[in-house]
Amino acid sequence: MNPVRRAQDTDPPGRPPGDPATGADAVPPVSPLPHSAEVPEPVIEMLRSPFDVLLSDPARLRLQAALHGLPSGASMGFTALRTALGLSDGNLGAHLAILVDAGYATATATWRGRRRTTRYAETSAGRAAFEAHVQALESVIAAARGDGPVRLY
Amino acid sequence: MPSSSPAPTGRTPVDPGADAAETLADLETISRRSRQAASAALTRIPLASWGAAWVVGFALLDQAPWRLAVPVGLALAAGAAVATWTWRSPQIRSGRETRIGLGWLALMLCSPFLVAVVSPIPDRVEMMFLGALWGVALLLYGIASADVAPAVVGAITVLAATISRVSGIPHPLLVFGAVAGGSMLALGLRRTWRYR
Repeated sequence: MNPVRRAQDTDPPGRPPGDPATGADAVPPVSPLPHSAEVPEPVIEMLRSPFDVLLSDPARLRLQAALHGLPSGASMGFTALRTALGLSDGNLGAHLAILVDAGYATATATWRGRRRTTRYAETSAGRAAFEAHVQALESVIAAARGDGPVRLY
Repeated sequence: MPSSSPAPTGRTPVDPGADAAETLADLETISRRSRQAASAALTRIPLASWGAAWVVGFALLDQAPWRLAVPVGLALAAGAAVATWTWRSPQIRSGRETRIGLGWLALMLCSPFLVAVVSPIPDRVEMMFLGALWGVALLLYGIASADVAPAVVGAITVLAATISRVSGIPHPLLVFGAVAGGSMLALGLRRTWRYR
């Protein structure tokens, strides 16, 4: 007689073989979103609301914030942005290119002798996107605090 | 299994409100520093150059014969004016450099006319009157551009001129130049160092 217990002999269908748990002591199956029950529904709704896709990248959001802080008509060069944000040249260049392509920032090149300097400024579209993203963040804070949904417009 | 036990995966619960608040605070800091950098880029060289010109120029007016002090003072002022007019930060542009330069040029050109209005007054009083006038201009610039530090230096300049004039202290021009010019120079050097 084979001393090894075979799973199909005693385990009910659907239960993992060898699982001894039964009844009230059973371990519930793992939910795909195990923490969704811990997050209030209004907050979940706000998390689905209009966060700008481009500005959802933390580095790009900080970059847009740096441009947003400049006075109207002002512009900031690559070196100053790199110093302010602590990004590498390649990383900063890539994010700037994305923002410029999306119309959130403009790039203006000037020459002093043979030296070229490119300065970046926020566009009106970039300003609107940033302010909407900030408002969405504020709504999340309000919802998490239980202040209820915040009107975005 | 108790409901307060850790989730099966061992991850800590999400707190979107705290994350969002932290993000907003970071963004506010970045925007504020960007705004300050733009103000500093626009003003650091003019403040430092005019501050140095005032410290030296008013000291000469107080201590040296005027036939020497006036030409040297005018040369220092011309140098500061050239530095102000030609300075452009390579990294940060406000878009207002020319307009602000024209404003200060207008003040410079109007100054002799204002002196004519209040004449005749002693030469030393005339110098402090001009200094106070430029202090008011700096105060108004700071208010208009929401740049607090130049506004404070402008207010200090007006107060220094008033105290030097009415208090009867010895060497009023030397004291005024040291206080007002020194304040401008200190602010200009601080902004140059901080945003080098």
